[in-house]
Amino acid sequence: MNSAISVVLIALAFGSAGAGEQTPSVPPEEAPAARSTDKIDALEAAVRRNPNDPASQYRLALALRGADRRADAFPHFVAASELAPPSSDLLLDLGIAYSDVGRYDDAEKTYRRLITLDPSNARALHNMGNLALRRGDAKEAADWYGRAVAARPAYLLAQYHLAYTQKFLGRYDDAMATYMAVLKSEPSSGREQAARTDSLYQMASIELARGAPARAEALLAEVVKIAPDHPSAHYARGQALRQLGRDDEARAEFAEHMKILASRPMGGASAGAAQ
Amino acid sequence: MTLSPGRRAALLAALSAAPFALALAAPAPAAAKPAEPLLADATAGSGIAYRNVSGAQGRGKGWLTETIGAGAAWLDYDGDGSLDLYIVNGSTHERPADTPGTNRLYRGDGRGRFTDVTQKAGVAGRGWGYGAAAGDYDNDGDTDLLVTTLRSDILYRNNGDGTFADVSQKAGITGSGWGTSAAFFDMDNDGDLDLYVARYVAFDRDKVPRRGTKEAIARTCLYKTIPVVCGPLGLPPSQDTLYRNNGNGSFTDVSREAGILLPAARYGLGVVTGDYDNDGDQDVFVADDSVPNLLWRNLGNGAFRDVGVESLCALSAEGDPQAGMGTDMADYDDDGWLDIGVTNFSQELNSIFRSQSGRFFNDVSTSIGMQASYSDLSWGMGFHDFDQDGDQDLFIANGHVYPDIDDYGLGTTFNQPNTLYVNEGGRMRAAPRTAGLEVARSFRGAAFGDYDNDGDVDVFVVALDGAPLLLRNDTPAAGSWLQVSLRGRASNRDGVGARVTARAGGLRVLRERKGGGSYLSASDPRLHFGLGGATKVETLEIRWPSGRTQTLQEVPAGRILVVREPE
Repeated sequence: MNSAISVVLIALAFGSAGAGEQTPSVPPEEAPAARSTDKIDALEAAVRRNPNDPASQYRLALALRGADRRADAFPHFVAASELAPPSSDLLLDLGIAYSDVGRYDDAEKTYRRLITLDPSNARALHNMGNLALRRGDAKEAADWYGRAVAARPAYLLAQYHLAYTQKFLGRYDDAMATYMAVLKSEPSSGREQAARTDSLYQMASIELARGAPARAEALLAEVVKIAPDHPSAHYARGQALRQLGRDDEARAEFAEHMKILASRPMGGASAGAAQ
Repeated sequence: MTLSPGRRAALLAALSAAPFALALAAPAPAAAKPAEPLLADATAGSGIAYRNVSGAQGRGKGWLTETIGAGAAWLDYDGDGSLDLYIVNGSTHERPADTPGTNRLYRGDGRGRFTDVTQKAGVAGRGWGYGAAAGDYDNDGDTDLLVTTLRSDILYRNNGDGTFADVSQKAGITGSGWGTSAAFFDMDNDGDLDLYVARYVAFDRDKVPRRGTKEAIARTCLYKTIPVVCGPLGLPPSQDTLYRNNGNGSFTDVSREAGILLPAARYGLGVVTGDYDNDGDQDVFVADDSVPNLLWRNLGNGAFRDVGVESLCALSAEGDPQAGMGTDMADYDDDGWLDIGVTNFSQELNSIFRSQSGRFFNDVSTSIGMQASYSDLSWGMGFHDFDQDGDQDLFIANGHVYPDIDDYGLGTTFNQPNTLYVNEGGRMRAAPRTAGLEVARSFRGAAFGDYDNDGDVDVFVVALDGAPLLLRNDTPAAGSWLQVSLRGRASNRDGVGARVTARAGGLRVLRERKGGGSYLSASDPRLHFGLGGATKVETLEIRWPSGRTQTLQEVPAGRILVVREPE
């Protein structure tokens, strides 16, 4: 009973995992501290000394999240938001913190509050799309992602997620155009680079769905060169080759895919519990 | 993982210049469309008093055993021409494993009333029941029953006098382990029914932590952030069993010789048999939970080979294993080849694998409209022509496994209404949720059959922890129909594996007498043909499993036709 397709899939199909919602950049002076246990200890001491200081709470929260201690970070984001006047960055971080602990309704309320204060906040609009998709409402998700792209046209991850929802909804022409926009954008992070590479795969899978295996195969040949560990490209290429009657090559791609599958952790719902 | 500038420019140019390919060729449109299908809740007053027991109620559930529910079987056990109903029931972990069961057999009167005859018939079962299959394994003219349980399989032979005998041991039905769905089918076309039993987990409650305990959470028995029952991933899977009929009232376990024992067993939940490659023998598809599905191609020599991955029906379009639950095979696009449906978890689409002339399948779930199933957690399924316009619609039973899912704002709920997809030229449109389709419970097994003999297909759905749902098909202005009841001679008496093609008023309608199908359940053995506006079937061609063919001409619509295999 594993939920294999979820919002995680659209976060990024490979590369950086994340919870599917974009984390704002930690201020430059905080970035090294996020990875430092000593620094976290110091920030915790500062919070103990002055628990009513919103800046201390916020710095500790960011440091804990930077160290991927998201559950530990949560109460400090809440404390900071209760102590400080609302700001875009803090509300965005608070929304993400709610999502991190599974309080999606609170996350949505927080993003809506932020969007009321700052209607063109592209990150909040994008994260609203992620929440809608988590609820299974792809139409609403596409609307939020579209608004995020309108607010910031060069926002690569929002473009990428918009294209994914368009594809999911069967709007293949729209999705192809949006994926083209992703390919034309310059990535500024590993996640964005991965999104761009995955866009090639997604375009190929649309070509497969449209019954154009030769075009799909040509794209997928590129994807497997660029990203040989892509979790879906070998399988999709096998599908294309099978449709083209190149069965031996298809089998080789399926074998490669099954090797990648076998190497993946079997996570997700109801995992674990070895007897 | 980077695109070089030159390669990127070339790709962009190629993508911009080339025209997009044509959309998938749509199947031929069906006959004139009737009104929306109407499935009325006919449970009240039917006499069906069954309530499902699946361990602790609701949020008290601690183990996987308590979550997957049970199924039912439509069968005519007394041969009176009216469907009777067998409903499997679960148990609790507090009750000893060999405790007499609480399964129910209801005798139908053909008009919508059912009488409990369980005690007289002697089919209450034992232990914790899950699934049922029905078939005349001894070719004596009455329908026998197979029941799967947490510990062993039970074979009930129909004595022909309204009673059954438990012949499991005597007949060699000795497979052990958590059986789920089962299918009677003739694997070797030798004229008797063999038996495939899908199995799930080798479950030992003493070795599995209870939901929500520290040990369970430490073993990541979580769904997103919600503590849930452990498994199936992380629990040992159980091998399926294939029994070959010896022709003398007994079976032999041929799982090893037939090649269905896997180096790593799967978590089998749904099973259906059908001739997907049109080579005249029955193949087997198994829906597996969280691991790749199996398509056992019948090699025609007593052995099977799994071709699921290379045939593109083992995984999603993205190559991911999904949480397969129920399954069915049908020619939903009327191209003469059987397609495959699989129900899956919420936030996975239910899968429709469209056959490409039997060579392989394409996952067309997104392109034919299954996005409507994204939030549903689905189980029983069946392709049937509910509006009788000549193409097969799709009914899916829904309900979540985690009783406290409602608290987490995930866009899904524990109780869910069922879905009826209307086939519109090969696209599936979810029908409005009216009448019986408004009822929301945590549904599981679904069995399909014309219990009131009015010609259309009705549905019985088992719900976890509660009362079931009897859905009577009251579709207004539905098309005409024909039902075909097969009687094999050289072939198995039930005609399982027979393929029947009706030509009527420009329609060409293919049905195959399948084994298994849906989830933990068995459906009406009669083949149902919706005929749109046609008043007769011009030709009815039958390909029997024995290889004989038979053609009937000018068959009037609106009747249940018994067809006997020629000598």
